[in-house]
Amino acid sequence: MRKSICCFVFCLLFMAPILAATAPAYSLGTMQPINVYVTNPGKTVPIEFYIFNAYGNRVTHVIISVVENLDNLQVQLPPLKTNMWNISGIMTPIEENLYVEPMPMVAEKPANPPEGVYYLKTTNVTDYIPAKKVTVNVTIPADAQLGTEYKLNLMADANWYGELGTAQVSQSRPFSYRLVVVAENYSETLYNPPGEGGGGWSLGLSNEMVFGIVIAVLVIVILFQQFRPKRHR
Amino acid sequence: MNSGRIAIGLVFIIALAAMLVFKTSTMPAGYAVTSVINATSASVTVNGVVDVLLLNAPVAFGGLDSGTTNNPASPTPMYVNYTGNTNVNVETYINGSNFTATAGFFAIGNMSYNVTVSVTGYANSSCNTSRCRYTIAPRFVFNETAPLGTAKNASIYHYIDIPAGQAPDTYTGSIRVCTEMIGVTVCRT
Repeated sequence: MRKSICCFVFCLLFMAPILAATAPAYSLGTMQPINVYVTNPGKTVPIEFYIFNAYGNRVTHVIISVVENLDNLQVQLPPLKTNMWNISGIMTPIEENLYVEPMPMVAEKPANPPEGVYYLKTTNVTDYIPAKKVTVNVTIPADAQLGTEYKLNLMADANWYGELGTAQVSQSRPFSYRLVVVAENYSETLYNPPGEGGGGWSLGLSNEMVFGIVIAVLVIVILFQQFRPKRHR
Repeated sequence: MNSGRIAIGLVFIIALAAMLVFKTSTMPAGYAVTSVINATSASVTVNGVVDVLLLNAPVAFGGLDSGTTNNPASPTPMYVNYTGNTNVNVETYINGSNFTATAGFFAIGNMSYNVTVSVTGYANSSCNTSRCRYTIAPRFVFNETAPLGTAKNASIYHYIDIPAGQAPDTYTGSIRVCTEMIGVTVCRT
């Protein structure tokens, strides 16, 4: 009996780290570099953000969608694909725009980084975060009024597969953007609407100019006095 | 050279001198010398990083009898870990979908939860001191200040009621955890 208990305890201790290692950890990390784009009428803006999986141990499968586009901007999302995954021996079709494998942070950027992987740096941690970039192309109408500000909200929905449970868990992360329309070339002119520009007798002359005009008039008068034809008596 | 022309010359010189003096130093009464300020602008772009790790997921309840209530999930709780990479204040909303199976379905509202947060976070008081039931629409559960290098944890404790007479089968529902930078206001819609 004592031998059986010892054997059981030994097996449990041996199995514990293995069992703990397989417990799923669902990670969705995102970086949004900017949320305001300044653009021009007719231009296509490449909106970019990053997705990473630094602390997870399952592949993060992501679907990107437009959740708010009140101005009906033309939005081109990354292509949606159905990829076939072998998950624990079971072939599983998964629809996704991109997937991010577990990629722990690294102390230095590798000399030859994997294709499509970018290394992000934040001020909070000293390491680099391997991430994948998402590019969404947004086209501004050619007749957009200068000064117009468009609003666009995107959503990244992340799912994980292979585990059984009563309630499957997903994560969502929104990205909110403003697109401001400006002219392509700089210009600056003073605008004086009709009826403005000073009232009364103001001629817009500086004090120096007035003084000079007065002196000039005096000189003319003096010259006239000097050189006017003399009356013969 | 007659005195008239001399006078004219003097007037010219005085006028020019007066214009120079007038322009550089004469101030009308009531005004003070001001300084010239050249203004410009500076800008900086702050990257927004949100990194959330879910542990003890999916949520599992095992085998239960119909008509039972307040059955806790196992393992529990589900941890919502805001990792140290997160550099903005964040808020989290959750919602769910109904439990379905071949034999039928039952509403997501049969699953309830209560939450706890770190000392720097804030939890929906309704779901902190007592339980909230899951809804189809997103509900705010907690927010957290920017971890900035030190991860912060929130916890969600799940419970489920099995409606009386529910047909035997394996039912599956879903939970969505939406986390955003405070101020974005998309998760709630």
